[in-house]
Amino acid sequence: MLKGWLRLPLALALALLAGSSCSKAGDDPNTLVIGNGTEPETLDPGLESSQPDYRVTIGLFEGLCVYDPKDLSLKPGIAERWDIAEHGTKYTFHLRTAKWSNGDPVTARDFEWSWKRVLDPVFGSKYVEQISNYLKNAKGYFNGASADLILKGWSETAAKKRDEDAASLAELAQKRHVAALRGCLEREKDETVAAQLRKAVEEASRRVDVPLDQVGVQATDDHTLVVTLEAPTAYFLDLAAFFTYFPVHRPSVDAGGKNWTRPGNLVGNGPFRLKEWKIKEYILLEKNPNYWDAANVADLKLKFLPIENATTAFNLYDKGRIHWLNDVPRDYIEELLKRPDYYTGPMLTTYFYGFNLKKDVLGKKKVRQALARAIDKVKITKFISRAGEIPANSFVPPGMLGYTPATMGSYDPEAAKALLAEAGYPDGKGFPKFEILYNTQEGHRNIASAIQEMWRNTLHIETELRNVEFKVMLEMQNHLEFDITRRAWIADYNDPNTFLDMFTSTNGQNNTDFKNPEYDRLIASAGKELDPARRMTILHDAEAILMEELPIMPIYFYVTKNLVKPEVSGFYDNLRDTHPYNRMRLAGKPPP
Amino acid sequence: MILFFLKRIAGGLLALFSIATLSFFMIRFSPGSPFTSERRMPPEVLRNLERAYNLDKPLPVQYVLRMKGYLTGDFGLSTKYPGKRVDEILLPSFGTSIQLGVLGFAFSLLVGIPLGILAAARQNKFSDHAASSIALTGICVPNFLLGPLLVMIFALYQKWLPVAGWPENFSPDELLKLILPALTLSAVHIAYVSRLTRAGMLDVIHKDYIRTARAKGVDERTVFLKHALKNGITPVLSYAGPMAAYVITGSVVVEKVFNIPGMGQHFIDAVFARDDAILMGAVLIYSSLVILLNMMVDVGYSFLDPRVRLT
Repeated sequence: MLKGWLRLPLALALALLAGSSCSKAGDDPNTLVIGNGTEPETLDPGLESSQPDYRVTIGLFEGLCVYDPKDLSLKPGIAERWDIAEHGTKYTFHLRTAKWSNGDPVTARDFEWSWKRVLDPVFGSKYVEQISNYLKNAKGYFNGASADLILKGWSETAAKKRDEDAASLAELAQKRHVAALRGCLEREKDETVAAQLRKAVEEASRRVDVPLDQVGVQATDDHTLVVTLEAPTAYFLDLAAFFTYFPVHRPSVDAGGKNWTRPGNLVGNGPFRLKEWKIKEYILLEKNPNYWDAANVADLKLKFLPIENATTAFNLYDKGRIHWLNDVPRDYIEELLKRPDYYTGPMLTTYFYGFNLKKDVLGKKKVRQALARAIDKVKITKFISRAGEIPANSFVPPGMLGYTPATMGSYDPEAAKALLAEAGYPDGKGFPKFEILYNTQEGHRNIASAIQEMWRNTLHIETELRNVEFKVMLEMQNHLEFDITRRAWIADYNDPNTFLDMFTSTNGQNNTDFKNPEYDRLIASAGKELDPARRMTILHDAEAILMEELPIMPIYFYVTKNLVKPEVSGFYDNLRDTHPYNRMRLAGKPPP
Repeated sequence: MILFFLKRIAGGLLALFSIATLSFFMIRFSPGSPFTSERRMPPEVLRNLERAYNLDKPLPVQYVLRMKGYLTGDFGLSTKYPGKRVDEILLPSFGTSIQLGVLGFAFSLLVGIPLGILAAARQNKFSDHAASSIALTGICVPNFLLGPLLVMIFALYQKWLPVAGWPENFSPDELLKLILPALTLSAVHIAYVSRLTRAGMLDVIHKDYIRTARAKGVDERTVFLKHALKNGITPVLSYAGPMAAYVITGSVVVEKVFNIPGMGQHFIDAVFARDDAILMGAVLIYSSLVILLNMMVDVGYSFLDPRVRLT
């Protein structure tokens, strides 16, 4: 209601403002001001996990490779060149002469230490799998070290947590050496647990531990980093540009402890360095004169503002206080689409609904197909999301190099009705009522009620909407306590595998109870395939299974929503919405 | 007098203890953990994180550890911002919230009282109705609407004031940023204060001593501002205590709308992030403040009105 009568004056205000072009973002003409959405949680590249963190750290650190913002191709970063040998399982990176922001040389040893640091279970990286899944022996080491830690704390752990572990304890214990197990056994009073431990001790002698120095990353000298992989990984260079693989400066991490990311302590190797960080106020970066390519970086300051309210951020942008926004108020999008400073394009992110296959009816393939084909996605993107999103008939978004996504049957109400009849529910008769779960947000609610309506009109089935707070929804998804739920996934690297491996039987992100041996086999064999074309065919076949079985139902692919002032150059819209600062310029400020 | 203080302090500490206990268990029993995220963590990482934050321990042990921490001045570690202590996150933002609150408090009195006097002086005339309308609007319009509305009028249509932000230094341009948030925050209190002032003044204005003053030929201005105001304003003073607590703890929405780095934002974020250390820290700071202000109000009463005895 409120929104309705507010919209007119807001639109008027917008129209008025569109005409005015004041261009003073911040007071310092050399400062590029960036609306960063929210306060970064951490600036430690090993710990970070979100876009607001990454938008800052991409200025502070540089990995072996870097993305070209124009086409996301991989360019040499700290590594000047690389050789790939042994059927794609051995990468030798030759590092250029580069310096940390304090003048120390960046060496291959820095990379080795930084990557191994992430593998330390005490470190607690959410993205540890981004390394442990690929480097040789990394998973073995990580699991072993983790098991050690859990066993060490066993006797003081809450009974409930122990029960959760008891199931996996045997497995966990088997990864560890005898001494650790005996130590636990001595302290253990609970007989069921002690029995497990005793069994594990017996089996322990048959086991080989993986020490840290067997993990597949080794600096052979200051400029050579040899990386050995578990399996040929076609997208490893892409990973080498990912933030979890950024190097950190060991002396300052050791000296600073948990405080090493503060201004004054943080030493980076990126084009900019940290000058100020006021929580919830701003983060200020200045040019790093010690950066290897500093000659080609503009002499700018970067100021990141943590603004969560999209309307407030937009007002600041239009008043010329911010140069670049990466999100805009939904209600303004139709106006913005006409403006030259609005950059929008496809993104490697999929909005989809997940089914819980454990729920009797939803376990039937025909039912899922019927539900999926009754959704008019064009209507959803055109009238609800309205930012130019692309209706999705595949799970993998288009745009991944060399890959053609496999598609599901398109929107077809008649086919959907027929499928539901074949499944035993002609005209929706006898179909049980189920629930659509989403997190409390207007956009999600609108989509859910549109889908509810489409199912009611086409299939004559009734659904209920249920909204809960975000973390509650995630918990319910993890425990399969839902019927149908909204989800989304952002690519972690530029390869279909980042989407497809989610639905292997044992993957932690599966959350549908979808188990298909053929699918698992295809994903595993794609992981070993060396020929890029054949690999893509295998992944395509896997996606074809996913789009036939439909444990999930793709709805649309996201688009980027960047507002960038005309005086900023060197900004390129791309599929991953990643924007390195190396080539960014501010008008009135000639390039160096 | 001293006994009174000791009693009140003991009562305050007891209240704080109960609040801490209650909020600790409420947070623990809410679904979702600080480490629930869209990208589900490997179970090993999750277990080790829980270990690092003592979340794997039995609940009573966690409770004792947390309380022990408070006794030694340790507010714990944030789970949302790894490596950061709660006090270093909350204290600067609390400073900001206090500044905003003090400003809002001042606005409420400096605008509210004159409006009330004006309304009383021109009882049932246009100015009175205008002041009443303003007051009613202030009470009725919630600040999540008022904030954007003020921004639209004073920052977007008329480019007089900045649209959002918090001063980074003391230059006049930066200080202008304070006006709209302080006004939004104080609107409802301006309204109450002006209504209270009006009622208080009208109550007093018919008293005998005022008639005497008028009879003596004192001009109307002096009657109002000197003789009547002194007594007419007591209701406002008793409202000022709770109001101080409201403006400081009630800035959550204003902070979001104007992107002000205050404690309210951390408070809300902590709820959604299940960051119990920050959440409890914020709750304790807020409640200490409320308790302290209440105590000050009680003391203030005894000075203003000798009939109130502190026992």
